[in-house]
Amino acid sequence: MDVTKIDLNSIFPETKPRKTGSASFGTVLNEMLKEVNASQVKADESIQGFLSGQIQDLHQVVAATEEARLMLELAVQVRNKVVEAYQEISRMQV
Amino acid sequence: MTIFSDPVKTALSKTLDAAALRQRVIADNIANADTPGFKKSVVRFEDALSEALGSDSLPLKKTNPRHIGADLLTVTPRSEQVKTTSLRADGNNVDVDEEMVGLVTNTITYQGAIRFLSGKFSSLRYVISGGR
Amino acid sequence: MRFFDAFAISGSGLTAERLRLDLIANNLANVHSTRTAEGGPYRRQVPVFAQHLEAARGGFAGAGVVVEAILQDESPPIKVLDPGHPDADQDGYVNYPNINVANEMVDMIGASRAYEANATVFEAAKELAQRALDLGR
Repeated sequence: MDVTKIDLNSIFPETKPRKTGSASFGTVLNEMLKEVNASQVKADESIQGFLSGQIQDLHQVVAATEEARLMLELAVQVRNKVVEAYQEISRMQV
Repeated sequence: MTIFSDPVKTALSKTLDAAALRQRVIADNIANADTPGFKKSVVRFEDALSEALGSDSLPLKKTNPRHIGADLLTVTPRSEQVKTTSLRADGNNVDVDEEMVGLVTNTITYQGAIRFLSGKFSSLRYVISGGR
Repeated sequence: MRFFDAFAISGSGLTAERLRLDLIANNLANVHSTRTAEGGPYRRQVPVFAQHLEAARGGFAGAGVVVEAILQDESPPIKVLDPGHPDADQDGYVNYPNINVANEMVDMIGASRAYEANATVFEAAKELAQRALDLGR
């Protein structure tokens, strides 16, 4: 089944330009999930750093946790759109 | 670097780092305002930052205006001692009034950077939630 | 857990200047003390401030100030002729502490100003920390 490619630009304009040519949506999604995970790890590390006294600057921790939060929100939104699209397609009369 | 990174956000983040370091340096200067032989320190950052922002960084061809030049990523705030001779008998060269002016400037800078960075996050959140 | 070097640094300044004020207050209170536990008149006390350094965190090693020692002024006591005084020596002189009240007052003003300056810096650090917590809200 050919899933219509959803353009990330509609959700978040100006994403990092991907390699030209057909990058399948699956790859794009995979990449994004990796980045979401990486940002969560980074946020956790900065929190640990703060608690152990290594990181003195509050703004670093807050910025890292905000980024992680936004990445997660974006991922959830994308997931919602994918599910919506799937449902719409499955409703189509063949 | 994430898909959310852009040069301005990076510059703001580094400015916050520099301002936080400057707060500590000023605190140390003031705490030691009466210590014999103490030499004050300052934070050098803004010149390096404006250079990095203004440079074209030729080695990195920027096909997208959001590509961050290598310069910007390597700029770090540093503290250095100012070993000027002082007018005081005890060799201390801290000028309390100068430090106080620096403190106010630094506080406003920090508050401004927080505000602008906050704005960027809010905008992103707005876009992600589909304008709701 | 160690939080916030900035607060610790300013805190060290507050502590040091407060100690200096306490010593000045003690000097002034004892300006006429001819007897002490060690014998002899009271001797003026002075704090010795020293820079406190710690392993460089983020390239900056400054950790405020510390009072390394409290010295006693070694200058000779002031002799006043007063044979009737219980602490007069054989020649009729009483040894009084060598404390110049005017100097102590000037010192006191200096210490108060320094204390206030450290308090101002502390407030600024607190402001920065609180603003950072509001990032993104």
